[in-house]
Amino acid sequence: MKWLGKAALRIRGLLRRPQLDRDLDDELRFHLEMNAAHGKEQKRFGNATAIKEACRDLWTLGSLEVWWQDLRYALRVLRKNPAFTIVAVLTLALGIAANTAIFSVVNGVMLRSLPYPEADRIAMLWTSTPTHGVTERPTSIPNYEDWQTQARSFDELAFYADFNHGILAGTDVAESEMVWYTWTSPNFFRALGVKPELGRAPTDEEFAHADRVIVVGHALWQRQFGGSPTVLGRVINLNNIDFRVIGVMPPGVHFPEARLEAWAPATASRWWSEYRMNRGRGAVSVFGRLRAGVNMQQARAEMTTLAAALEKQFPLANGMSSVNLVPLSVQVLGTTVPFMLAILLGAVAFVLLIACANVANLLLARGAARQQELAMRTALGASRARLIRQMLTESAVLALIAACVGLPLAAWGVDLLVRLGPQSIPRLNTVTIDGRVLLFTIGVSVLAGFLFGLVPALRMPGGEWGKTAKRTRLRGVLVVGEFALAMLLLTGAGLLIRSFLGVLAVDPGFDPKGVLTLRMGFRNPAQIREAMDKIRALPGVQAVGTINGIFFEAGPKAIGVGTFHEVEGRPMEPRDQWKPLVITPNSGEVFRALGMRLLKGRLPDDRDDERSPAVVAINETFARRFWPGENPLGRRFKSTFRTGTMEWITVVGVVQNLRNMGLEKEPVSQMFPSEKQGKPGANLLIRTSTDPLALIAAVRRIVREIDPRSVVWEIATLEQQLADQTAQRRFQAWLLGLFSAIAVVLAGVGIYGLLHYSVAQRTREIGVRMALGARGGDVMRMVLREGMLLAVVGVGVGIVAALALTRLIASLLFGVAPDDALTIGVVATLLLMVASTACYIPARKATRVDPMTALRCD
Amino acid sequence: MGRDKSTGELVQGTLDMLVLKTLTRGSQHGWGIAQFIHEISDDVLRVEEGSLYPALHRMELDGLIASEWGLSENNRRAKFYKLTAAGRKRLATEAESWNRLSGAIARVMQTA
Repeated sequence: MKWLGKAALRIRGLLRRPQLDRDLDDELRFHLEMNAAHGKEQKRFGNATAIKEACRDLWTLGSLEVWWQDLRYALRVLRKNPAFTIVAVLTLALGIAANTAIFSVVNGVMLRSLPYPEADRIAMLWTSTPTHGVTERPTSIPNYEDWQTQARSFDELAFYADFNHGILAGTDVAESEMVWYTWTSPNFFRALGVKPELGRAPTDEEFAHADRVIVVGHALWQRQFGGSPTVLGRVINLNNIDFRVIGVMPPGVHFPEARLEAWAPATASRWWSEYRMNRGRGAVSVFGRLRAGVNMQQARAEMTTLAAALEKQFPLANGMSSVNLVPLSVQVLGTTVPFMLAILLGAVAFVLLIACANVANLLLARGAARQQELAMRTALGASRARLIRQMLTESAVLALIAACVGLPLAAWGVDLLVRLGPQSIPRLNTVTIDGRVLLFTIGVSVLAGFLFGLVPALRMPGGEWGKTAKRTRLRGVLVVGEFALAMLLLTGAGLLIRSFLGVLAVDPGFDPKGVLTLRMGFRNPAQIREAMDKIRALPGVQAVGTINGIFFEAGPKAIGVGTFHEVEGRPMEPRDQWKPLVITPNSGEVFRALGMRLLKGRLPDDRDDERSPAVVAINETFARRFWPGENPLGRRFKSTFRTGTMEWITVVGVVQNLRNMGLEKEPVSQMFPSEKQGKPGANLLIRTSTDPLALIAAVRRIVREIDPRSVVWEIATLEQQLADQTAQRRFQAWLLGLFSAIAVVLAGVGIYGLLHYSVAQRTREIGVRMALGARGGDVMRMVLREGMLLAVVGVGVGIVAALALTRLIASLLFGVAPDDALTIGVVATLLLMVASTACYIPARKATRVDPMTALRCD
Repeated sequence: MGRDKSTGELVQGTLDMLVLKTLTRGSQHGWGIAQFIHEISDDVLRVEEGSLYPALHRMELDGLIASEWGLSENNRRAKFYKLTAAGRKRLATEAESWNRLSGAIARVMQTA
């Protein structure tokens, strides 16, 4: 607080300046008199004014006063050149806004810590099978229990079972709805470090006794119970199980997934007693809180050793299994999002750099016009340092004005990003402009101000760099740099847009048009059939069926001809040759609804039920893998999928491949049993000849008529679902496209400004040339050559940089190489076209120079 | 900053220390301080006014010394400076580091 006292003294000094001056005079006069009285020479006293000046500065914010002068002067200069100021501010504001908006996302998604205490000490512990590239599998309960008793690195090892959803009902529940919940270990909330805002978490005893108690989330509590504290002790029915509510979690607790709203002890689940005995059945996702003094590496080392011992002990269940530790923050964020954000951040940094180059260019041009003023001020005694400081103040003011203009723009951008951003970016909905973002904006603006202010400031008259020729060359270099950066950005954007188009062009293996998809929940699952029949009878409906999902992001079970599966007439395959397999039970006319083609044989249907032999249709990949070049119909393999015990399954049909792993991955083997021989299908598909969305009301009515407590959820068209697959790519391509468009425009403005100024300066020269017989065409060629040379050099540098740098985004590309000649060619042509347009206007102006006027103006 | 680099001028930190030390004898005006240092140092140290007064004002702003107007020995109005508690503390630390430094230099000069 010392500086505060000092500041107060100084402000007092400023206010009482006359008094201060008198005192100083008195003090120094006394000194002189004493010198005189003691016979000292006067001249030794030195410069009394300088001494006074030095003392006064101490008292009166000396430097601050000068700074204030600079500031006022800067504002005056900016006001006097409105055209310059507006262009510069807008250019910078665009760059600053883009940077602020993207940084807001980075800040909200990556920098802000998770809402759990010491979240960086929480890690997920997955079972992995490194040889298959499977890194995140659930863990069996016996393995979890061994980890828990043996691991020393964790304070708590907790788990949740794969989250589930069920119909929430009950006499106290306001309205039936689908609620996502999970089964947990008793220490789940302890490991997470959160406490209920009302009531309590389940106790170890309740867990041991399999008590049906449940903790609900804040939003659910508000929605269904009006936030009443009497919720404690009430009974709710979730998925046909009655639970007693014992606690409410505060807002923001949604672990492990955003839509999760209820947590119950795993022992109360139907599967607990069975899975607890089965070491081979991956059932729960484990996470732990590191013990104090233990770091991730140490924990990882311990768990790897532990897993190796368990593998040796139980080779059948744990064969090739290890443990994969993933810090929670990394888990939440995934790997693609940080990479994407880094690229966007890089792109906006480039945009800002181009904006800075543009403004520096403007300043240089204006610097030439201001030479007289600066020369005058130098002559009047202003030091070079003083002038540089003055010019930097101007830049800083310019940058801060731009920041003020850019912030609302950024806020709008953030709003847009949050609304349009893909679901795959976690916590995107919490992104706001907070203190850290503001600090970033100010920092970036000031940095930008110095960046574009320093170069022109050093080019002032008096310095050896002040020569006009050098200044012109420097301006050329800036324009070349702008074009190189724009070229680099545009190439990156071009590659990503081509990848996006490539993904869009992928045939998903089904026809998404005119299909409504939704999920239905009946407390009596048999009623789904009744609903399907009634929906089938609706006008316009062409096919209705269910299937257990279409896109499978998480790696499905790896199977092969091995211990668990056996293909008739083929030798066993070692585990490391196993390939993943998707099993999708279905019912009704799902293949017609999807518009999938049957290539051979027939499709399993309702006649293939519990009593009849197990049959499946398989996809092309499956057929090629086991029966290449043969007819797979009638061939058999062994599987446990129907009854849990090994039995022979007969192939009765082959269907066209569907991109079951998402649009960007090759399809894996897939088999389609009838629902009656597998698990009931979950997604209802309705193909209609009319607008699918118009069916929603009728479908809801049918479902409610059958059971008022039933629910319908996840309603979308198949086209929307398909679009979700490409949402992140679309987001990425759009943003990069937008940023590179800004970059191109800025580069165009840059080259235009340079030529415009150059033509204005050379008016006389052009006049002389024209007077000497040069034609308009010659003059135009001369100006165009000057500009295009810079653009071409810039684009060339940009291509070299692009060839070196686009390799970094190779992993984001789909169906296009990072050095794709077509993209680079198209982009370079586009950029040169923009450049020539930008050059044409000043060139055209040059041809209109009237030799007489040009020569006369002096 | 354009400081005069003539010989005999005191390094800034040293001047502060000497001023503070001088003021331990009681309050004194600027001229008196300069005179005292000059005499005690057998005319070796010469305090330039150009350094002295800015230094005094700076130290006053820093709260190391305080000032009040009074009458000099020849009955003239003069600004007297006196040591504050903070100044006393600063003097102690500066003196200590000075002693250490000069002792070290002396040892090096004797042996090398």
